[in-house]
Amino acid sequence: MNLQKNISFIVFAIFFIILSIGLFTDTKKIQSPLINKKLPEIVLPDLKSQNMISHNFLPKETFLLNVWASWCQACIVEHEKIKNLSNKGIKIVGVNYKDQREDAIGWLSIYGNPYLFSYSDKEGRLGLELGVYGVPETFIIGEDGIIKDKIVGPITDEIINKRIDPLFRKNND
Amino acid sequence: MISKIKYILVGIIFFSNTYAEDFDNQRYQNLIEEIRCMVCQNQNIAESEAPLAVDLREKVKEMLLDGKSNIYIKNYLTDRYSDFILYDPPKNTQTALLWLGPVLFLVIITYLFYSRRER
Repeated sequence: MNLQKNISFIVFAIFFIILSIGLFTDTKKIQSPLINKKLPEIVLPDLKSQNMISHNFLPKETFLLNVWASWCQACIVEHEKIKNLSNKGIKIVGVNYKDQREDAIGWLSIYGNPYLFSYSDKEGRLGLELGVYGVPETFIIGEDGIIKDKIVGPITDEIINKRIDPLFRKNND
Repeated sequence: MISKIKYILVGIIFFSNTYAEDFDNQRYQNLIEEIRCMVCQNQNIAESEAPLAVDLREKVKEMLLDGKSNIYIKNYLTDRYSDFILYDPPKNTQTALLWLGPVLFLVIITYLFYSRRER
């Protein structure tokens, strides 16, 4: 009788622990399966000129690929950080995601344009290839074209310190 | 008699039209109910009207029309969005306990229940 009571309790305790862990897991922090994969070849036009951008125009050094849109509130908040990073010398390429060209260009003239250029991903096809679901999203691309990290949500100082700076520090040494 | 034949013919034509496209709608429906909308994470893409869900439905439809298998489509999604995009967790050695857990639990509870009753 005691043994059965103990077994019952242990089974209950195990389930309690497992479910508690699940309850406190932030599902938005899942690591992207694209990390350590090569950045797929991008075949999209430039936002301003609407000409197709050759793959050669991507920076040959470690750079940031920032997915943004004029309809995205969090992008306005993040944009200050993006401009700061650009001022520090970090190359940033934009992906204008599911947006209207006029709105996007207007947004850049209001909030500033730190991007080398922005791809126009009107249909969100590049977004699908990159597993985008929560704009803004930022990819750190290594000089070998490998995706080193993917940041979902706006960039914060903490993210800059912990995830961005370390990957760029090597270049400055 | 002739009018019966007419009705049957109309019926055949009507139903053959609905299957005329080379598109397995049932398979499509089953698939999109298994895919999570990553934006509203407690809805599948069949239910959700979020832009991403619309895009994902389009992509699944495209791949089906392109003759891709269910496995190919699911891999395409998990390669980009992680296993979390599917409602069913993957079936491998790491998740064996997750899949067998409920069965094991049932067995244990049944054992406890019956061994108590014998008294």
